[in-house]
Amino acid sequence: MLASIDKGVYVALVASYGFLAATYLLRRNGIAQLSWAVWLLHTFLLAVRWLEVGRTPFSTLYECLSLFAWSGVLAYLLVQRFGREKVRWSGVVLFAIMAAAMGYGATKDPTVKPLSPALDSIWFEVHVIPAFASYALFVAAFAFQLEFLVTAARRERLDFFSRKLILFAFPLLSFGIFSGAGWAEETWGTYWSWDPKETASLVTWCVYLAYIHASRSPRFARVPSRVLNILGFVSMMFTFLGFNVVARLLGLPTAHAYT
Amino acid sequence: MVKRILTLVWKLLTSLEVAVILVLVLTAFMVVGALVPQGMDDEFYLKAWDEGTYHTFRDLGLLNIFHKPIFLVPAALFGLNLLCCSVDILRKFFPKNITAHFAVSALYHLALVGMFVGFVVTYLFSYGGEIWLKPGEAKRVPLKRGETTWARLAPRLGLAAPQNEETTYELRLKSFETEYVEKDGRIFVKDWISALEVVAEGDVVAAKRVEVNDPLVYGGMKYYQASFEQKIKFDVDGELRELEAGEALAVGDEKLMVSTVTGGTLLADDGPKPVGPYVELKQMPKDKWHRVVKDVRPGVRLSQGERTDVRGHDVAFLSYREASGFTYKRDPAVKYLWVLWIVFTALIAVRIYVQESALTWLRKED
Repeated sequence: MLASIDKGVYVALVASYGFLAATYLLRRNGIAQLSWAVWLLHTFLLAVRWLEVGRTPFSTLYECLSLFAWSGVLAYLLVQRFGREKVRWSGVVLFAIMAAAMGYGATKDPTVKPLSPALDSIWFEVHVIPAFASYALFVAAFAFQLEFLVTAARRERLDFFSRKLILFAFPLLSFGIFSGAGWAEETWGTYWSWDPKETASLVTWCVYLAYIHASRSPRFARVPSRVLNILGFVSMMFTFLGFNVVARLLGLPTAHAYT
Repeated sequence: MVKRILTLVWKLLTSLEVAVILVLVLTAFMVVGALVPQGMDDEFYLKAWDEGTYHTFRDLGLLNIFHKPIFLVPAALFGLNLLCCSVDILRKFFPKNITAHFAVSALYHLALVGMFVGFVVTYLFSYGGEIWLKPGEAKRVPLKRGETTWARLAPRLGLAAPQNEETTYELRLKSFETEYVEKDGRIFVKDWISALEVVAEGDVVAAKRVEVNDPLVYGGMKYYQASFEQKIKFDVDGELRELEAGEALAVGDEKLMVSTVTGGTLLADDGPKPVGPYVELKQMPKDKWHRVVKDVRPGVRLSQGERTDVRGHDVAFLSYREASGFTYKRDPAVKYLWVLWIVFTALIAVRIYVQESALTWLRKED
C-alpha cells in the first residue's frame, strides 16, 4: 500500500515540478501558493517513505534525489517568501532541475532494503542531513545568481541573496565533509583516503571557499566570484550525481557509489 | 631593501587574492586526482589503459598526485597563507580594536591552520596494516613504523629512522559471526562481529566484540572489522575441492559461481534464530561466466551436508571455515583533529549564523 502511494506521488511530483517550471516561464498568478502546495505534497511523500522504510529515507539514489528536490524547493521558496523579490528565471531553472532530478530518481529501483553494515550508524544522519541542507541552499543560490545574470536590469538583491545563501550553506557543507571524515575514521581507520568521491566533495568545498573569499575582494567581487558560484553548482551536481556515471565510465574505484 | 622585500612577501602571504588563487590551483589538481585513479598498483592501470597512456600519466606524476611536490607545495603555501592571514587579523585589531567579529574570524582560521598541521602529522607519522585471524588463532601485530613517511625522511635529515616492530601483546579471535535480518522474504547481512581478546603474557588484558563502525582501541592502536574470508569445501563426484566465494566451481563442462556462505544468526522479530549454513551455486553462461554476473540462470541452494545432481554430476557442500580480516591504524593526529574540528565548526557557525544576524538580511531595506 505505502509502496504504491510512494511511487504514485513520486511520479506526480516529477510532473508537478515540470509544470511549475513552465508556469514560472509564463509568469502566471498564484505561482507561489501553488509551489508551496506542491512542496507540501512532497513533504507528505517523504513522510510516507519514512514510514515505509522505518528509518530516515536518504540511503538510496531514489530517496536522495527526493530529499534533494524537497530541500532545494524549501530553501528557494523561503528566500522568495521573505525576500519579496519578483522572480521568473530562477523559478524556471530551479523547478526544471528538480523535475529532472526527480525524473531520474523515478527510473531508479524503489525497493526497500536494510542498510548495509557500514551505513548502519548514527553518523549516517549526522553526515547526510547537513550535506543535503547545504546542497539545497547552493541550488537556490545558483538559481538566484542565474536570474541576476540573465535579466537586463541587474537587480543587486538577487546577487546578494545568492551570496548570503552560499555563506549559510558553507558551514553545513564543511560539517558534512568533516563528519564524513569522522565516520570514515570510525569505520575504516582513515579519515581521508583521497577516494574520488571524497576528492570531488573537497573540490566543491574549495570552489565555494574561493567564491566566499573572492566576493570579499575588490578585484574579484564581480565577474570572477559569479563564475565561481556557477562552477560551485556544477561541481556540487557532479559530486552528487555526475560522479556515479563518470566513476562507472572511467572505472574509478570508490567506496561511495550510490545504488 | 630587505625590509621592502619582506613587506612585499608579507603582503602576498596575507593577500585575499593570493588565497583565492592558491585554492583554485589546489582545486585544479584535485579535479585531476578525482578523475585519475590514485595510488593503484601497475596491474590495475595496465588493465584499464594501454601501456603508452600508463607511462605518460606515471611520468607526469598524475597517479599519485596528492603526494607529489606539484600538489604539496601549493598546499603548504596555502597553509602558510592561512596562518599569515589569521596573524594579520589579530595584529591589526588586537588588543584595542578587536571585536567579537574579528576574534571569531581569526580563531576559526587558526583552527583550520591547526587542522593543516594535523594532516601533516598524519602524513608523516601514521601507519597501519591488516591482519587476518581464524577463530581461536592469536597473532602479534606488526607495527610498521619503518614504513611511515617520517621513516623515509629521517635519514635524509641525519636522524635515526624508526624501525618496524611487533606488539608485545597478541590479538586473539575468540569467535566470528554474521548477523542477518529479513526483509520481504529475503535475508540481508546486518553486521559482522568478531570477539577479540588482547592477550599479554598469557592473560586476557582487554576484550571487545568488534563490529563494523565499532573498533577495538588498545595501546594507541585501533582495530577495525574490515573483511572476512570463507574457504568452502565441495565434493564433486567424490573429488574434494576447496574454493572461495565468488570463484567458479567446475562441474563437467559447466561452471558454477559459488556464493558467500549464509550462516549465523537471524535477528527476527520474535528473537534470534540460527540461519544456514547454506551456499548458492549459480550456473553462468559458458563463454563469459567470469564477467557477466547479471546473466546467471536460477541457482541451486545447498545446505551444509546436502547433495545435488548437476547434469549427471554429484555435488555436495561439505563444510566451510572462516577468517576475519581487520585493518589497524595508529594516527597520533586524530585526537587533536577531533578537537580542532569541533572548534572550527562551532566558531564558523557562530560567525555566520549568529554574527551574520540569521535571516534579517532577507528583509527589504526601507
